[in-house]
Amino acid sequence: MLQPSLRGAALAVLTVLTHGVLPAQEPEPGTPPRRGPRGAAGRDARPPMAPVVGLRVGTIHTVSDGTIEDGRILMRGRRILAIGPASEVPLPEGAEESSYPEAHAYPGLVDALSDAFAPPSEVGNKSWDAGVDMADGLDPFDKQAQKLAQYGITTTYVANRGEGQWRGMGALLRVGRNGFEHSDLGADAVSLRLTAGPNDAHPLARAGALDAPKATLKQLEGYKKSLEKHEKDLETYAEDYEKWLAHYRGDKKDETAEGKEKETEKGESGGPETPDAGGATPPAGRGPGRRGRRPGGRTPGGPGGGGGEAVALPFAEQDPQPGGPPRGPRGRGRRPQDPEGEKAPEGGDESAEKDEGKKKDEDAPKRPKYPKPVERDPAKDALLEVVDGKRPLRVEAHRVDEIRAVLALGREFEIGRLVLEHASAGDRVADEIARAGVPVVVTELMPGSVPKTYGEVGDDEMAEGALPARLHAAGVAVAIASGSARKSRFLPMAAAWAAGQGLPRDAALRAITLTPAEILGIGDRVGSLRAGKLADVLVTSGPLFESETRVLRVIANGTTAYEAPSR
Amino acid sequence: MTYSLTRACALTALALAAAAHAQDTLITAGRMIVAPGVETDAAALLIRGGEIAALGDEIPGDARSSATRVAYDGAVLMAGLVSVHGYLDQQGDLAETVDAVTPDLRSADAFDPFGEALAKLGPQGLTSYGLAPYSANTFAGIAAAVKPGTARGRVLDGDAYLKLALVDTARTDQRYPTSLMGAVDLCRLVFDTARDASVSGADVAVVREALDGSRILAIHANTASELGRALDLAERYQFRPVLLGAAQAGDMIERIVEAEASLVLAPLTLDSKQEALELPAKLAARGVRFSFVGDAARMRWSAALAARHGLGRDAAIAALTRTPAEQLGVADHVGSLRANHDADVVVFSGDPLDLSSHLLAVYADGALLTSEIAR
Repeated sequence: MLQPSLRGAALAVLTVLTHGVLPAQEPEPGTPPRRGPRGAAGRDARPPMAPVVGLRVGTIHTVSDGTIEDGRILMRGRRILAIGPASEVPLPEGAEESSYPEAHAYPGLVDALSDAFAPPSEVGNKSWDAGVDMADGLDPFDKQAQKLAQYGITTTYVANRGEGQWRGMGALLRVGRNGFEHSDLGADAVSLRLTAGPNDAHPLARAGALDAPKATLKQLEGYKKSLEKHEKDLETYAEDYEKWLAHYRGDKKDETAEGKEKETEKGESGGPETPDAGGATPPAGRGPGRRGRRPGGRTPGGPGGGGGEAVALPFAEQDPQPGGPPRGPRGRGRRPQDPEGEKAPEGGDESAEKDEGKKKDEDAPKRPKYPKPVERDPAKDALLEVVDGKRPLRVEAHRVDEIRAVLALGREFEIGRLVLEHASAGDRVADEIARAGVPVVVTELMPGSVPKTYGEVGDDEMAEGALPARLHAAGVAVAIASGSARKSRFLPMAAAWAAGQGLPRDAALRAITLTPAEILGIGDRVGSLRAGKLADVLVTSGPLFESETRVLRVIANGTTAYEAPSR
Repeated sequence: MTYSLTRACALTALALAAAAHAQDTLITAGRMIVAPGVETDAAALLIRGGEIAALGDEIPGDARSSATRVAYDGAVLMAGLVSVHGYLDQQGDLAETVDAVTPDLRSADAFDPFGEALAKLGPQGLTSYGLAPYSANTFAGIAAAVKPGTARGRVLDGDAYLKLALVDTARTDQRYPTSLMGAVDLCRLVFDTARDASVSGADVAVVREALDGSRILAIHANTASELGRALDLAERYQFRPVLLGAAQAGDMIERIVEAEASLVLAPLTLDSKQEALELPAKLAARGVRFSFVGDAARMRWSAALAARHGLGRDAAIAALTRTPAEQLGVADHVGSLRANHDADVVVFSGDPLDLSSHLLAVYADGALLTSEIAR
C-alpha cells in the first residue's frame, strides 16, 4: 500500500503522463467526458454505458411497491435504474423519454404455463421421460406465438401437456432481440402428470397410478449411491495408480519403456510424465481404447510402431488385442478405458514382463483397475436435481386424492420446490396445500372448463373461476396462466374474472406477474417494477382488467418489443 | 251492522295498505343502468309487490321513508340478465322426434318449477330464461319465458316464440325430413297451408300467427346453407326472423340486415374463433340486434370478449338484457329497469361489463335470491 503522499505523487505523475502522452483524448467541451484507460474513477477500460431512457406514465402499478401516480421509470440497458413519482425521479439531462399521461403501466406479464413455440407433436407427446428437454423441440418460427409480446407477455414457460406420466423438462422463454428465446435465468422444471383424468377409474387403478412416480423416485437413491461410489472409486484409483506408477517408475530403469507406456494410459495420474522419447519397443500388449490426454507424444505402439510419432490415437489403431475390439466412449464425462482388455491375456510379452516384475518385486502393487463408470440416465439426472432442490417439480393433479398424493410425494422425497398445476379440487384441501407451502398454477377458469368429476359431488359446488380466490384465502400462492398460446392474449381477462369471483384485485394482478415469476425461480429479476430488476414494462390505455383496454407499448429487457400503431 | 262492516272493511283496507307499503323495498346504489344508453347516478329503485314502482328521482318521498332500505354503496344496478334460448337440462322432455311438425307443442307443459338447473341460474344474475323445445323436429313448438324464484320458478309467458329448426339434429333417419332439402320444402308446405284460410287447427293457427307477425318466429340455423334458407323463407313469407345460433352469420350480414332479422348467438369463449369474436361488433355496426345465451357467467364472458373485439358498451348491455327480452316477447316486463316492470335487478360491485366486478345481489320479482351455491 502506498502512503498517501506517495499515492498522490503517483497519481499526479500518471495524470501528467496521460495528458502529455495522449493529447488526442482531451474531451471537447460540451461532450460527456470519455473514459481513457485509466479513467477518472481509476477503473479499467469498460464498454460505454448504455443511455438512460425514461418512461413517464399516468399510473404505474409496481406490484411489489404499490401504485405510483404520474410516475417515471428510468431504464438503462436491460434494467430498471430507478422508479418513483416523476417529481422525485428526475430525468437525467439529455435522456430521452416517452410520455403516456393517461395510460397505465404494469410489469411485463409472466405466463406460467403455455404451449407457445412448441409443435403439437412435442406438446402432446406421451412418451417422454423426465430427462427430455422441451427446449430441444421448440419452433422459433411459430407465427402465432411470436405475437405474444403484443399482448404484454414478456416471459412464458412452455411444457409438455401430453397424457404421459413424466413430461420432461419445460422451457423458460423470454422476449429477446429476435422474438422469444430460451432463457437460462431460472432452472426449468420437471413436469409430472399425476391424474387419472376426468373419467372415473377403478380405485385400485387410481391408487396404482398415484404410486407410480414413487418407483422412479426410489430408484434415485441407488443411482445417486452408485454415482457417489464411482466418484470414490475414481479417487481410490487415482491414489492406487500413483502408487503403482511411483513404484514402477522409481524402481526399474530397464523397465522405463514399460513405464512410459503406462504413462500414456488414461488415468488420474497427475504426476509428471516424461515425454515419449521412443527408444524401447513398446510391448505388444497394448490395451485397446487408450487415449492420451496430454499433448505431445504418445507412442502408438504395436510392432514397428516405434517411437517418434507424436500423434495421439484415441482408439487403438494398433494390433487388435485379444481382449476384444476397442470400445468407444461411454456416457457423459469420462471416456473410460476398458481395463478388462488390458487384463486379458495379451500375449506373452507383457505377462512375461510382469512375471519378471513379479519375480523381482513380490510385494509390488498391482495395476489398479479402472472403475466401471455408471451408465448415465438423463431422466435420473434431472430428477436428482429435483430432489436436491435445484430444479422445481411441477405436478398436474385435479382431485382431492391426487393432490394429497402430490403433497405426500413432496414430503417423502423432500422435494424442495414443488408446484401444483390445476388443482381443480384444491379448494377442498386448500389448508393442506398452504401448510405444505406449495404454489398452484391455475389455467381453467372459464365456466364449464373443468369437468364436474374433478370436484366432489356435494352441496358446495364451486364455480371454476372461484378457485384462485379460495386458494388465496387459505394462504396458497396462486398463479394464473393461459395454458396455451392461443389464449395468452386473454390472460388479463382471466385474472379479472378471478378477481370478480373473489380473488383480491392486487392478488389477481400478482397472479399474472410476480407470483408466476417466483414459481419460475426468477422472482428477483422480473415480475414487478422495481429498481434493479429487468426492464419489462407493459403500457396500456386503461386499467388492465377492463375489457376495452388496449396495449400501447411493451418493453422487454429495456427494448421496445411492441408498439401499437398510433390511431 | 253496515257501519261496523264498512268500518271493518276500511280498517282492513288500511291495514292492507299499510302492510303493502311496509313491504316496499328501496334499493340504492352508486349507479344505475336503466336501459342500454340510459344510465344515471340517481341509483334508487322502489320495489313493491314484486314490481318496480318507481325509479330514481321519481320515487315519492313518503314511500322512500317508509320503505325497507337496502344500500349498495358504490355499486351498479342493472336489469336481470335474460337468456332467450335453452333447455334447462330437460332435453328429453322437450324433444318431440316422431312428428316433424308440432308447432303447437308448448315447452311450458314440460316446465319443472323445482328444477335444479333453473334454481342455479338465478343467484348468478339470470332472471329470465327462454325454455325452448329441443331442435328435434322442424316445427318444434312454442317456447316459454320462465323465471327462477326463491323457492320455485314460474312461467312468465307460456306463449313466447315459435321455434323452427333447420339444423342437423332436426333431421333424422326415422321420419321425414331426413335432409335439409326436405326440411326446407316442409317449411314451405306448412307455410303455404297456413296461408290457406280454409285450413283450421291448433297447429295451423300457431303458424298463422307467426306469419302475420303476432307471434315471434325463431329459426335454429347455423351453417351458411341453413341460414341462407332461413332467410329465403323469411323473404318469401314476409316475416322478420330471429336466427338462433347463426354461427356463420359473418358471411351474410347484408342479407340479415335486409331481412331485419335479429340474432341469438352462442356463448363466446377463449376458444372461439376470431370471426366469432369479431361478429358482434360487425353486427352492431350494421344495426343488427343480437343477444347472447347461456348462464350468467357465460353471458358476461361473451359480452366482455365482444367488447374486447370492438363491441360498444350499449350494444353489449343490450345483448344481455333488452334485446333478449324483446326476442322473448316479454320486453314489457323484463330486460330494463322501468316502472311496472318485474323487479329483476342485479347489483354489481362495478361495471357489469368488467369481469372483475363481482355480483353483490340478485333480485327476481322483488325477492332477494339467496345463493344456493355457497361462496
